[in-house]
Amino acid sequence: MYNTQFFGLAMIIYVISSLLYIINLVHRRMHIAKMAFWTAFAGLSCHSFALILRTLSSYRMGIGQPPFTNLYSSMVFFSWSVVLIYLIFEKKYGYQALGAFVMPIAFLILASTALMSNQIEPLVPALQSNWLLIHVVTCFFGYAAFAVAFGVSIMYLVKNYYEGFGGQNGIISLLPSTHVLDELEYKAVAVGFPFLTLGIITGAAWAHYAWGSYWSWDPKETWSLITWFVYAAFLHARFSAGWRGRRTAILSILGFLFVLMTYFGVSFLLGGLHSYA
Amino acid sequence: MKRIIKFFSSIKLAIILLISLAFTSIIGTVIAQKQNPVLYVQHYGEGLYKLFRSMGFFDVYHSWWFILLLILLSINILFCALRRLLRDLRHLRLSPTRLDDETARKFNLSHSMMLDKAVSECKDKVLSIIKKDMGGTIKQEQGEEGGFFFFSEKNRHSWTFFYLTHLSILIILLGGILSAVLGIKGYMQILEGEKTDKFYEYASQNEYSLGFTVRCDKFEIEYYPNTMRPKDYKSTLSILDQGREILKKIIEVNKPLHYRGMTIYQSSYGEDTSSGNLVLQVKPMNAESTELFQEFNVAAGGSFEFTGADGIKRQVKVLRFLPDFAMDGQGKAFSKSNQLKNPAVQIMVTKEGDTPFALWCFQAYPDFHMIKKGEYIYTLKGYKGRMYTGLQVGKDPGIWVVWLGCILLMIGVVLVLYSSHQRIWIRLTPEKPGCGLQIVGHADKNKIGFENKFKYICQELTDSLKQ
Ligand code: HEM
Repeated sequence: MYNTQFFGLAMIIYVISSLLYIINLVHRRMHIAKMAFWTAFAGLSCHSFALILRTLSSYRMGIGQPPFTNLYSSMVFFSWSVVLIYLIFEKKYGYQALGAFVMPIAFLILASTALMSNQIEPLVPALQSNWLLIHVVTCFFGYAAFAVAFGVSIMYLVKNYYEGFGGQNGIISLLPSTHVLDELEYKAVAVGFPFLTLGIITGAAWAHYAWGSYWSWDPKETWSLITWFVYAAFLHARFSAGWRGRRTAILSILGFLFVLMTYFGVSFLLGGLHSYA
Repeated sequence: MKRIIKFFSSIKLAIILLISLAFTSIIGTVIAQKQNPVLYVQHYGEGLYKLFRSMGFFDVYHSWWFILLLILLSINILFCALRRLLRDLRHLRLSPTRLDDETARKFNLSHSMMLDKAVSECKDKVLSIIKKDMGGTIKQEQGEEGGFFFFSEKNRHSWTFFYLTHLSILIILLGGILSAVLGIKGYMQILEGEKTDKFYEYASQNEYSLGFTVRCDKFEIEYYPNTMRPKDYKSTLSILDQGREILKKIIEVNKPLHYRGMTIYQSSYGEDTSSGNLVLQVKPMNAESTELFQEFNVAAGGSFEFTGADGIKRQVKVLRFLPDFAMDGQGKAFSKSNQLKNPAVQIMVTKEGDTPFALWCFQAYPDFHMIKKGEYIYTLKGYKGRMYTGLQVGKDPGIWVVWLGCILLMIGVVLVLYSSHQRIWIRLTPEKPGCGLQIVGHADKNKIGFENKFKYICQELTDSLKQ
């Protein structure tokens, strides 16, 4: 399976891109920023190619679905979504400084898959549904946008913390202004929220066709709903209660912790409790 | 009264409710829900069990306080929407298309400039700029004292998207209530070739009548190559209503059948271990050639006899057949499922004039002989029986309400986040020697984006009118 090699190559390109973004943060050269962007883009292309190869070999094995269903494949896809969403963001809003925070996240996610089994596993019949594919893709786009919001919120808090001292030292002064960060954080959440909403709905549709029950309060479902509540609270706090800055940044970080819990925690932490019966 | 309405329609309550729902929902994912009380007592102890039970922690999502939170959320949304509606309608009526001083004061995006051309000269240029940069519907009016007014508006209806989003949440909740009150869910198992018109409800185990009859004509299962992992399983079902055959359909996982409000899902399958035949092979312990091998078909619970090479008769009786053999904690054999995952048979062999002995034979491990006694090896070659199909049946009249709510919610969320109501007012007033231009703008969302657009428009106006 050549796909693993291409994932490895993408990972290396992401490291280079992350470094370029960080150098750009310090030196602020247009050509470095451009290089960082195109490097990330090259990494994404390589990553996409590997995903296609992997899907093809899954079809060859007679599984007949893109492989999205074990932790390895979902992490690989998660990392891909983070880069994609970030690059669209950069293209649209043009703040390259974010790359220094977001690209390393994408790299770390992809790097962590090196520790996992990359087997393509046959799907049990319940998982063979087009709803599943839409469900996984929309959820991960949502998660990826929330990851971008998370990166921005961290930047906000760092920037805000140092500004509190009145100090505008070196690197901190290079970050976009808190005003801009605040706005970008909202924009990222505003991308993530509809995707998460669609993800929950398509998950319900899939559950309906596979098991005849659109909502059964299983832990994964429930945690995604909890995450949805937290981000709904974020939107309301910002839009109608007029929260800004530190408080919404904290809410967005909290939201991302819930995303992580939905994604990893449910299987690793709660699984044990649910298997005792 | 006013205070109560204000409280129930406040966004603060909304945030508190959303966060409370989030945190209370966690309880139900940490404590396994709706288990047997015995397990709870084992796990938590008597005292904690009683405390948790009284607080509804074992069925959080149906506990009175969780439902209360949902009711409060509904009231909150309803009140908020009503209060907003009154405000929006008033605004709609009062929304001016002519820039007056009051409007100019109300919105903070505002810009004025003095021009040395007459109103009539500037008019067309202003129009072409707002046409190009703002778009939307444009209204122009002649003022009384030689002045001129422009008004341009985009996404005029975006105020309604708030209602779309929030009412769709109420619709989903309503659908949930309908599902819970009018819906029913149960299961049935039908052997290949048999039929039934009854099913058992999950929660109560009560028997219900379907109102029609389902016959399972055929059940098939397909495995991934060289594994015992099911790739697909399907049943060919016929629906009989009042004795007539109405329809015939193959259902599989993810592809259910609908008839008269009932939906029938393929959910499991199993082996009928009481009616099938086992194939047992008997061979002499040290046989070289396969000529001496014998195969017998025997029913579970049945027996057969054969005469050995020594001329002595042996009787083999099937004691137990387990399709999915496993051992429990005490070392007792049991079947984990009704599927042929690890078939095993326990037989008793009686050689004439000798003491009988019992042994297990596994299909997957033919060389596993717990007892080396006797001169023959007994091997389980297979099991041929009828399979039953496991079906989930149910009806859920709330589902269409839920789907409607979901679709509206999806549309609503996107629109409410991305469509902003943008307005621009421009007033040209004649002044000696030329005219004065004032421009005011407002957007209810994406204010930063709009501010940039506003600045850009001002710049364009300055550039084209001042040269
Ligand atoms: C699960 C429940 C809810 C969801 C998913 C939800 C969703 C949303 C969304 C997506 C927005 C748009 C935010 C924006 O303009 O950027 C919004 C706005 C708003 N929501 Fe909710 N909402 C919920 C419950 C509530 C409740 C209970 C209230 C009760 C007061 C409420 C009141 C408002 C108000 C006043 C706005 C402001 C809209 C604006 O200023 O443009 N929402 N909601």
